[in-house]
Amino acid sequence: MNAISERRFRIDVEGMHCHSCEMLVSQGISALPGVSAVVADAKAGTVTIQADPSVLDVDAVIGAIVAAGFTPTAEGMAVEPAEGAIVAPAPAPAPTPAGETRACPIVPADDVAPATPVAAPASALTGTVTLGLIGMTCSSCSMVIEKTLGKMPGVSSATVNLAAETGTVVFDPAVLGVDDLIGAVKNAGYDAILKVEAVAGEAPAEDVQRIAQQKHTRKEQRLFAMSLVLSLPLLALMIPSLMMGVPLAVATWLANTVGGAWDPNMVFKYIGLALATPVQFIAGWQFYRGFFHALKRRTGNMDTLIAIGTSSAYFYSIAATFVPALHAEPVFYETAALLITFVILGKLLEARAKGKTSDAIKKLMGLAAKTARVVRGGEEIDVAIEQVVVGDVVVVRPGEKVPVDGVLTDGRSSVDESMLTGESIPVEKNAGDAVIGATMNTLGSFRFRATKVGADTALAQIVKLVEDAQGSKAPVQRFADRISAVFVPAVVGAAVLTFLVWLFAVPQFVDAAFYATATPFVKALLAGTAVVVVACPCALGLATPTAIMVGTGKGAENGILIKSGEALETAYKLKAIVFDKTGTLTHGKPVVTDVELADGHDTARVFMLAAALERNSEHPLAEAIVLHAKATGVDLPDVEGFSAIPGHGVEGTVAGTQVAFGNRKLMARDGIDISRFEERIAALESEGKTVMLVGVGGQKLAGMIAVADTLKENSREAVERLTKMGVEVFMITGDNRRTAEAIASQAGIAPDHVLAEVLPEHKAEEVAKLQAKGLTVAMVGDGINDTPALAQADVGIAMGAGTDVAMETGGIVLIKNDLRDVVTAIELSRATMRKIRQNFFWALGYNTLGIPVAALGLLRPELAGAAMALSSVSVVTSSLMLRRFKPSMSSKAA
Amino acid sequence: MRRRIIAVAITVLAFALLALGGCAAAPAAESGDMGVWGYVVAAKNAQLEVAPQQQGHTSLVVERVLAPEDAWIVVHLEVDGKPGMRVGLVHVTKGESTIISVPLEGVTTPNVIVAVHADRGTPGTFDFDMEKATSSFDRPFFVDEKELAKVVALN
Repeated sequence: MNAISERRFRIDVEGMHCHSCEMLVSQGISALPGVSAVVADAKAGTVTIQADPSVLDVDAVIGAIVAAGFTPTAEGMAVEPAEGAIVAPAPAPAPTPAGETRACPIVPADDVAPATPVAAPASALTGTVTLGLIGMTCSSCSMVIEKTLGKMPGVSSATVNLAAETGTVVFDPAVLGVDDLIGAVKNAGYDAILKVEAVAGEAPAEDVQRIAQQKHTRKEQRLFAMSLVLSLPLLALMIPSLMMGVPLAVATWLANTVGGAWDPNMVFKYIGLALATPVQFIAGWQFYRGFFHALKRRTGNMDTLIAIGTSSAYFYSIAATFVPALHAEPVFYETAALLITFVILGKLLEARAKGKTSDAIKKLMGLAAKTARVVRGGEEIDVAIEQVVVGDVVVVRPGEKVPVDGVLTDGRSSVDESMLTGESIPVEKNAGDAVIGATMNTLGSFRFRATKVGADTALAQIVKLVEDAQGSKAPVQRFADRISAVFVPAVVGAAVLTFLVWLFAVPQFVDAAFYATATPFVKALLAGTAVVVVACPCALGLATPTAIMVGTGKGAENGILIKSGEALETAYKLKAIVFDKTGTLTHGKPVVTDVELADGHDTARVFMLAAALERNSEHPLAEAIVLHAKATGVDLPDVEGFSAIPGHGVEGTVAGTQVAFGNRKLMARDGIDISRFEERIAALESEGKTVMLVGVGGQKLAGMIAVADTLKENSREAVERLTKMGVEVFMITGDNRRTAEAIASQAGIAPDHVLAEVLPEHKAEEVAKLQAKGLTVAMVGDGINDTPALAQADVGIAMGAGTDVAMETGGIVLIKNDLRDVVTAIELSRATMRKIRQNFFWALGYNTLGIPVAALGLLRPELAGAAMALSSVSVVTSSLMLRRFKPSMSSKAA
Repeated sequence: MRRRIIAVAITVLAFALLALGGCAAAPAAESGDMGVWGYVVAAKNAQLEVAPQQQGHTSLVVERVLAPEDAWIVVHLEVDGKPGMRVGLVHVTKGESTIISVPLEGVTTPNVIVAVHADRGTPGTFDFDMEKATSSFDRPFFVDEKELAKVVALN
């Protein structure tokens, strides 16, 4: 197809929630003639198609979308659900009569208004799919899968997370499909399933990957039980009295029942053979299979090492059993069997521990309500959570969970949002306030209109975000990947070298008595096998992802959403933090801070006059005056002759008195003398406050009111703690320097760390300047006007409060507007990185200590297997210890 | 938490047991220098009948041998109650053999030990080395955990 003749089209599609939905839609459309590429975006609710317009059949496209179970939405067809109504799928547009022009639902992207996101060029059209992977044992396995997928045509990137057992593939759906990806993984010797996003509220049992993993685990348990039952007698036969007695008893029994002459030594070997063979070829088959698949790809993994180690012990024993010349040689059946048993035990313990690393996600998903009480046809009915649609009016009673996100329309209550925000104090909710699904209503009943359901709810978004973070790779993981890539071949080489040295070199230097109990060959075999087994890098591969999983999960528990492993790692390196002032360090809303009265006036009257005027004003400061007056119970009379004087203030007649409310210029214009207050005005302004004066009767001053954006309660505490942690704290604002320094002073930020009079578009430049000084910088902002700076910073920390923009921006999102969570995020990052280092120590410690010990012949292979299994378990257990992390400035305690 | 403790305990226990077993283990072939180190046979299938006192130092007569397979009648000097240098050797086939004369050479002690060994190495060649008794092919038969052997006094 000629790419020049192609055009891009975009169609809005309702009902897509996840990657699976995207794939269903994409696959249906991509099969149509003329279509070269399709990108479905569930989040935007659009499908972008690259196609030849002369061939593309619009009706076929719509049909494909409908056939996939989704609804194409043409302009003007959007159905706004009425209260109590269920939105029916919008029908596909009817066929157009010949020659008649119709409003095609597919809008050429070229014609879309600039504000609308435009699809990327065809070459950049990609789809992303997450696969659940089963059967990986070590980082080499994840690398095998990454390489396998990465080499496929059309795949632009493949990232496999060993701990989460997932693979994220970015690919061109026009070139290959999900089935091709799954097939490739299966060909590589592993199992894969399309990972369906678990929408909050769905029963955990519906998680296909979990079912498959449980099946896999049950199989492993059966194999372990079999191995254990067969290996324990082999272990017992190592006890000298049993080693002599059991074969003799069996030989005697055979002689008495079968007849003939029986050699107890050979009987001992036959017993070993009978017990070890099922272990070797039934329980151990998985290692041979993995070895074979790795071999096909000219790589190695844990299976390679286990298969080589156990096979060398087992097949040498076979030779010692059946080759007459070797009848006098010892056998090592117990070594092979116990090794396999221990490795399977290690895998089971590891899987069990790994399961706990995703507890945070499970806990989050478990928060969702299962049912909702909605008003339909004027009646309250209970429906499954999946049946709630946007626009439904939902009824919530005391003690019930809020089922989905929405806006409160009727009633009032307190809602416990601690499960999502970590904030322990219930939040007051009145009409117009947003409520979040999965939070707990405490007192009072209310009704709200659902605004977000299914995968769009805040809870589902948080789950998705944490899942994505847990599936992402931290840069530190590259260290483990680099080592793992060369580890297996290096280990096999080391084992061969050990074998050769023991076989040929050692006998030249030791006394013959050294070989009284075993020949040089046997000693060489044991040493080589032990090296192969003890050096397996499984623990190394788990060191980073398990810690990241627990760390991000722990963050989510504390209302801190860490969007990637990279953000978590970078937060550990922070040397400077830039706080946006308004809305971040401060509340972002001006409040009345001071009132000064002229002689003969009282506070209530001054506020009555000022607030009555300001009620008619749209100035941001007016709201602060009116709110203060209302809060203090001041009645506001009507105003006559109201006028706003730009740059000065407002005027009007209140309760028969001519009132002017504004700045110095307004007073000067009216000829009102304010000289008595000048000093005080200057003092208040030096504190960053805005002073407004109240003139009455057109001749004298009644008083003045100071308004300011105040510092949040915890800002100073957070700044102090950050400074103690060795992080330089900066404040950035568009305010003038005097106001900025006043606020900074209250927050404990030094004047030379105040970046004042910075326009929003220049904030990113200021961050870049700090970075140019060699500082690793975090920007903390509300995620809207700070977006460029958040993006420029090494770590963007968005004070989310659940807004979509905040969720999109920055590497870390703080659900609460509490700056102490910035401290917690950095502490968590440091704790996680410490844990990763500890894990590396454990993992590499086993290998670096184990290899020389094994090479010196001081470690029996079965003990090496136990040590190897324990290394993985100890690393995962070490990561789980991170669950004990407690923030030093817990907002829960507040 | 309790499950984790149990799991760790099992692991540690298994590890300790394995260490005990692994460290205590000796290669199988080295286990036979005491006790039963030959071939175990039922009493009904392996028997040796020989007069306890015989005349002369150049031969002795074994009255009856029952062997479960091809075997050797081996005569050793008795030194401190244990077999010493081999002084006589005769091959017998599987089954019953009677009145077998065993030529003797180099008898220097009053008593000799008559034993029955298997012929498991090269057929017809006595593959037995006293220095490597436990790993030699043609080791003796054992009945009821005792070597199938008799002491004969030569007058």
